[in-house]
Amino acid sequence: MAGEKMTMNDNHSALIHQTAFTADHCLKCNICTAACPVAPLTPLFPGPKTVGPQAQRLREPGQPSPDHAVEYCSGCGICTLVCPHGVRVMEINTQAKAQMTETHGMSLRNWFLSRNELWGRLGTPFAPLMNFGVRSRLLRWLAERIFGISARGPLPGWAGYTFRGWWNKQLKRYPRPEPDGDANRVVYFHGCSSNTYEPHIAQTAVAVLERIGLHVEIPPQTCCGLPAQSNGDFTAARRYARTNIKALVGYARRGIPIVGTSASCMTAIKGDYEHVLGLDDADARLVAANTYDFMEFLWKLHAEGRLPLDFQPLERELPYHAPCQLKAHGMGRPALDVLDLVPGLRVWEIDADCCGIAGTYGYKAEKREIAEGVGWPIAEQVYEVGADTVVCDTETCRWQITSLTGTTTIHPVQLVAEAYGISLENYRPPVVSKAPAESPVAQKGW
Amino acid sequence: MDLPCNDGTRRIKAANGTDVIVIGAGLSGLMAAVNAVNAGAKVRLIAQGWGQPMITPGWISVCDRANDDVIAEVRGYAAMHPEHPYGRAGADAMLCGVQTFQDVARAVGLPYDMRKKDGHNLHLSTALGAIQRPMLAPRGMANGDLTDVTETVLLVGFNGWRDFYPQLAVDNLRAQGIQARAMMLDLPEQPHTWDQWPVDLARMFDSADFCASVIRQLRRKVKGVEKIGFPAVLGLERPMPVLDHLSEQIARLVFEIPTLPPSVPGVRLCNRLRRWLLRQGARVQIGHRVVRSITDGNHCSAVQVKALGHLNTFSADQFILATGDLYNAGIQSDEIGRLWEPVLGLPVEAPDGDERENWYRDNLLRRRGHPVHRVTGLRVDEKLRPVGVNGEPVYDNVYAVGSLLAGFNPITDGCAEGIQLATAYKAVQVALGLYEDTPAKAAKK
Ligand code: SF4
Ligand code: SF4
Repeated sequence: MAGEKMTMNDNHSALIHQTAFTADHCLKCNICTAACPVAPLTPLFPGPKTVGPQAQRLREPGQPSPDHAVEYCSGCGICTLVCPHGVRVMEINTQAKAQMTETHGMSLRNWFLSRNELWGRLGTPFAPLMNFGVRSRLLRWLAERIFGISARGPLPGWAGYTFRGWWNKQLKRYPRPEPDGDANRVVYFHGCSSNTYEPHIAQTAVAVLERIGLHVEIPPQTCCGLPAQSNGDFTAARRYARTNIKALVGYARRGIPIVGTSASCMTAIKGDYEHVLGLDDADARLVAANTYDFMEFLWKLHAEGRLPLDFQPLERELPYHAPCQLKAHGMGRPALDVLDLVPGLRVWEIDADCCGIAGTYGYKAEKREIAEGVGWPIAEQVYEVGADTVVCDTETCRWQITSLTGTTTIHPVQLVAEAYGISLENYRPPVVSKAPAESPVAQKGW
Repeated sequence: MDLPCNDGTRRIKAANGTDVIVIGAGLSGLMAAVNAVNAGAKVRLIAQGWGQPMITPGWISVCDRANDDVIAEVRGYAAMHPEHPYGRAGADAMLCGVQTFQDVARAVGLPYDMRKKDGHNLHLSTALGAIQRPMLAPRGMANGDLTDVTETVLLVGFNGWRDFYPQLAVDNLRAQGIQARAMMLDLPEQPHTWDQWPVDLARMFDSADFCASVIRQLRRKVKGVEKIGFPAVLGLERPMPVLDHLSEQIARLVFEIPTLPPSVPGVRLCNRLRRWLLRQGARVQIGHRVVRSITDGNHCSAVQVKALGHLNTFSADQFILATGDLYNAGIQSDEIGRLWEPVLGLPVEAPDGDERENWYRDNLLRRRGHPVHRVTGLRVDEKLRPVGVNGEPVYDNVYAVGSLLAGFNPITDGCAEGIQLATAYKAVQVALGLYEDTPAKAAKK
């Protein structure tokens, strides 16, 4: 395998922790096969054990991949979670897909889907036009026939403004006082989606952080790289990853936490950069160690006694879906832990492995039906209780759940903001260093 | 059964949000979580992957060697052997553990039966035709009790499916004086060439069309047959309707025989218990390993999970270790024969001499098994708290349950599940301060 130059003695313990070598721990118990949500839905996919640790024995650098079925792995990572022996099955599959992309090249469609960040930026000025495009049945049908992008895949709309644009205006209008020291600083990683498609989530997140009394910093950043990674384009994924690591490592060195509202971007930064893309250096590890999912961060603040608990009661009962990529964090369900602190609010977890979309998987025409089948248990449980709103931490999952169930989907931070009584309308931070440059009232034209 | 089981609840909510952390998702971990939820506690179950039920037959061995009344046998044994896990837990805890398990299993639609007639063990066939004697089994398996069969038992397999060969089991059953015959059925044409696993077949049985084809192939061929045994693949999502439908349509009692892993009965149980726990507001965190603990003197305040990027800390009032034995993650070893408990570094009982040569005897299939399986584990006090060399509990709020305990051999003794249920029940009672009530309540009854 990849380690010809290493002697077994030198690197034994390091090697067995490397993704490819975890295959050696496999006992062939098939627990992963029983749990994989994709395998039962298509005869084209034999399941995680077969394409993962089993096929891994036949994968040699420079040799053709032994089987192409691995292409049908959605990358949801359930197999890695359920394996009692620490085999990183999903990570092995993802690396195998990259090897195939390297040998066979990448389809135009997959390239398309892995450039989420580009479309977000390019589309923003033309939002009405773009939104017309993604809603037009004819154009979606054409996109399916020509490119293989499913006409039923839940594409987002462009907001028409960017979160970064909003934030820059905020800083100009309400300059935040520079805090002494780093203890109360936090870096916000918005990801592509919350910048261009759902800026209100990023706005809410920042407002909650400021309500808690933290000084928010939003350095330049790019796509986390996950869409490119899951489409096997490791070169692009590593480029994105490097850019982010460079932008964030300075904060990490100062011990400033980096938080993000997209649980899947956070998975990439915390885990995939190392375990999938193989970026195993001090900077990458330091950034990973200082990165937190947004709700994980709030729960950590609570454990440290720093989360204000003056929540207004919310008398609601809502189902919650933990995205597969959030489950991969190993942080439990911090959204539920935090929302449990809000009086009156009862949020319960839907029993489902994955919503099916798995990043970009559910947008591929040939996989759309599988994606809908994978997510179906969510719809069943939502229908069972007749809920009209579902809580979920990751954007593509929210869109998928909306498309499967017809419900409104929200990020848990939106409930936190509601309980804090935060409104984004004329948002004004709790602490401003000097008088506003313009009166917000005049702004609104009153 | 009329049992002194505690149904008292303690509505508590620890300041840190969690009353009990259970580590491990085998039968004892899942049932510790269920029992704690039943008692009103806020529970967090953390495990690296699914546990043993996924690969074990699915039945509940309480005391396989008992020839007549199983419960009386355990009661007698527990009284005589206070150091044995049954002695530590007590026979009442075993009864309550079994009852709470049966209750929750029924609540999630997976009834487990025992011999109602006389309280003896069931006599169930393995895939090789050996007779095993568990006390309790999923209904589909319990239907296969061979104790009182008078006519032929028909075992059914599938052409081309390599996980179950009925003729093999039939030959061995006949050698033991049981009338049996085998029959092969055809599977529908497969659209692919790869292996079928038990779960794949079980999903086929979920479909009415597939069941109909099985019924068609069998219906006229069951003359003189008393019951029909299938590999344990009769439905994954809807096993009870499938079982009833087949029995009704073929007009014979249908039963299931354990297959190779993954164990379909185990998959069913784990999936349904997970959903049940989530609905009750418990956290079920499967996929990451607890690697460390935070302790202060003889008190444990939190455990740490190896998560992405950094360790994640989970605090609770009480901790139940259900991490399994040497073959699971509960006890670790290395090539020179050291043994250790990885979460809290608790003292581990080891075979004499502490060297690997002393772990095994020469004969692999030795009836009493090998010393390493019998001896290795944690020693606990009567409240199931692991003790140090001085016999005192190492922590006042840490309990060990199931196969992690020293003093029995989960592989050969035929009581592994009974001990898992008994200790999972008792540990929760003690941890939540409900234990003291039990004797008084029992006296009242
Ligand atoms: S990868 Fe893990 S769960 Fe899957 S067969 Fe191997 S040991 Fe079992
Ligand atoms: S990552 Fe998901 S889809 Fe892929 S093999 Fe694992 S469980 Fe199946």
